[in-house]
Amino acid sequence: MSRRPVIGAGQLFCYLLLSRVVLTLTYSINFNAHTIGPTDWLAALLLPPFLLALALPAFVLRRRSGPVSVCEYAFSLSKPLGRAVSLLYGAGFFLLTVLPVSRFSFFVTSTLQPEKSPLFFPLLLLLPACYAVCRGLEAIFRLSALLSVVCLLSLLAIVAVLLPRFDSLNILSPFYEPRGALGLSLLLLLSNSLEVFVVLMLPGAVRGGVKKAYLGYALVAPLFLFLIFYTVLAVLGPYSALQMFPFYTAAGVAKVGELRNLSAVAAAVWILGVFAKSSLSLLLCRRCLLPLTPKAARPFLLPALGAAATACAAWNSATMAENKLNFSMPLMLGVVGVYLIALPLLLAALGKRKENRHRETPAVPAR
Amino acid sequence: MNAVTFLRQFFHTARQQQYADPQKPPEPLSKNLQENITRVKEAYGNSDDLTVRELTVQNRRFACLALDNMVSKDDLNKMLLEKLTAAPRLPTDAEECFSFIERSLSTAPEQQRAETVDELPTLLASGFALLLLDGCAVALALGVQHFPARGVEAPRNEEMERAAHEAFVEVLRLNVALLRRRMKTPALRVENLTVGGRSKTAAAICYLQGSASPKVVDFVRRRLQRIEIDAVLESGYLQPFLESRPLSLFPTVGATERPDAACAKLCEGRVAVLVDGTPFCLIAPTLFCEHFQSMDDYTLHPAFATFVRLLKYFSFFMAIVFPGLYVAIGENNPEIFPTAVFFKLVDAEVTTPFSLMWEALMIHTIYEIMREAGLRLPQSVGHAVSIVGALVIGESAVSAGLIGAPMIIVVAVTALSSYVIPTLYYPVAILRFAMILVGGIAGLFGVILLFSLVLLEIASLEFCSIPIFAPFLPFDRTAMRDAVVRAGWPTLARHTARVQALHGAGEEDR
Repeated sequence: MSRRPVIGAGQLFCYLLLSRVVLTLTYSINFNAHTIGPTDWLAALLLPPFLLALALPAFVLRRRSGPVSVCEYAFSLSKPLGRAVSLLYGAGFFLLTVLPVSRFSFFVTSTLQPEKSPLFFPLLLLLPACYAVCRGLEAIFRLSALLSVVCLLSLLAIVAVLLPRFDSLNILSPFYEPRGALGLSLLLLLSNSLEVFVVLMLPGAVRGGVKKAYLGYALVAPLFLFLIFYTVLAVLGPYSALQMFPFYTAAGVAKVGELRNLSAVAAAVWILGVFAKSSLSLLLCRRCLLPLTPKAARPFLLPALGAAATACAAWNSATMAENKLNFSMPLMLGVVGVYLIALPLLLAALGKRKENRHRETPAVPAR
Repeated sequence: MNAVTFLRQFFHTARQQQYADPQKPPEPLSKNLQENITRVKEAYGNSDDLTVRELTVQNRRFACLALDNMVSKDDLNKMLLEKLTAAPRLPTDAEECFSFIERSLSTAPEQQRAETVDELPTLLASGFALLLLDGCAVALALGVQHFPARGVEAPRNEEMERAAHEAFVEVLRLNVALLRRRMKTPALRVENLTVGGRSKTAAAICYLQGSASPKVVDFVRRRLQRIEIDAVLESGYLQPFLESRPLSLFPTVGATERPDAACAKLCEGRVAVLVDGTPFCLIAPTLFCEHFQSMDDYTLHPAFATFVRLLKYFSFFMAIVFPGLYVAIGENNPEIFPTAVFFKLVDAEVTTPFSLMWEALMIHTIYEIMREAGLRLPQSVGHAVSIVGALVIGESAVSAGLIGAPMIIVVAVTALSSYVIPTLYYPVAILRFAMILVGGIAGLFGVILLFSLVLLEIASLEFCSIPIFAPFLPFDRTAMRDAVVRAGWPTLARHTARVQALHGAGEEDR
């Protein structure tokens, strides 16, 4: 007898935090067409209400759907709708699997090991991710909780070591920036805040309240983002605009005793976060697509998804420098708009309409 | 039905028929004494160690059957035969005579009736003496066992500084007594059962009523009852049947040779399985953190016990990761080494013909061969193996320029670290090789990912919904007082630890 997986609210909070912070570590001009500027740290501090607003549609839907995932709820409304929503969210999670892997692959092949094939790192990351999917949701969340503690402590250690190198002259006032810069920074941060995806898929599996976990995430994650942006700016100053991976460069400046730099720690934090993110995204992608797959083909779904994600991530990291598909801000904002706002609201509205119809239909009197 | 399912079902049915033979009803004993003796003899193929003593007392024919060296002849004489021959008057009716002997004559502490022929070989092999009576279709089995057995000795594999110097032995009853002596509560339950189609090995499930989760007890009981295996000669035969994922490198069922350790686990709601012929006791479930605990922790000062535990966790990390990390950094990211260390390493490695990965693989393989050779040999020869190994590897290989001296240090540190947690030696040894390979091929990132996978594997293990990585994952703050740190006894005594009450364990047991 298999029991329904139970994830603690604390584990969900840890995962959301790790997922968001790691994406910020990967901040690169290549991905965002935007250099870290004075408005970014201010935008990070202003982010909490926007993050909460971003989750509102998901919670509106959750109120209507109860403890079932967005796909299960769509199936309960109608089968064709369920299929369409599952396909859409499956594609969304596939995108979320490919995104961090290809960014990491691009980082390693462009900075550390250019001699490696672009296929090497996606394969290295997605093979263990497939194994993690086999081990299940609870195992991934348990590991993510541990990794988030390790990663965030490492991050704080890097910042602490860099403190003596903070130069106040490097910190410029955000108010000298051109009009609209703050809004752009906010939009950029929101376009990378895709954690609501997970919230939409897991309401039934979380013990102790998804809302509490998300609220904690919305309040704490911006503090880490602020810390990262502020550290990069305070240590590197305008030099950060010339760096492809500014936080990695800043960690390279940190020295502890005989250790010449902490860039390896930054890279380790990055890969651990990417592993956790890609594992969960792959698992949820499989979960979305499973009802659409013929029974005979179901055992092959995970290997197929893993292979497809590896190929896509490899292609994307190889062509990232040419900006073929760089997960730019407009694309990611579109994803946020469709998946996190439009679809949940649409499903909530359809659910309400169905409920109203049921209420209006008079019950057949018993004879 | 696919081919695999068909074959599985086919073999399952065949095995069930082999052991249980459900078609054949049990054959009752005959009232004819000679017929019964012949049947037992036939069952043993006239084996020479089956002794049959026929005697006639007051015109009534008896036979006493036993296996050589399995019973105490003195006890048998005192408890039955002397009294039987000296009895003033036996009832004339065979059934009444049997009841009279059973109730009034025999003083054996353990006795039972056997009514079928199939029961007799099992009873004989368990050290019972059988009394058969002409005209009566029932046999009286008398518990006068006297096996050649080793006495209680000091533990060989789990030696402690201050804890008791008593270990389990091969005799099941004695092992149960060792538990009873420490746990005088009547809540200690012992359930006997037989495992092994041919060996019919006696086993016992022990648990504390009220402490152990009924779900866990039931799970262990059902698993043991369903085992289909020819012979169970060691508790290790049963372990995979109890494991939630037998193919996983990390065990969910542990073993101990210490009765005090077993009692401590019973108090925490675990279930112990004792198997006749095995000086080890299986403990289910065994959490990952328990590999880092020992009985000595609870007798030492809490601060020192905590220090030792932290040292063990660090040793586990070193034993798995150190060689892989060295290879990964040395081959792919040497810039991470401090400058002075870097130049020393380059100096040592520049003359060797192999890459770091091959060096590490070779040295570790030689080391494992030496360890295995030393382990199975007599102690005196084992020392010689160590000396040869130290000379060959330590001196010759380095001076011949085949292996760098730093690699020897890495292997030595790794080997020492792996002995700190002996119960995890085998998973650690396998993972160490995997780490070296991954470190050589994929570098630092590969090592980090593989270590994450190891953690994921441990985090995914459960025994009856009890997470094996608890109380770390899922995190349980209150249970930390006996996980990473060891709180003082006043604190530990205030809280009752129950394995099924850990965070993440099945809700119904909390």
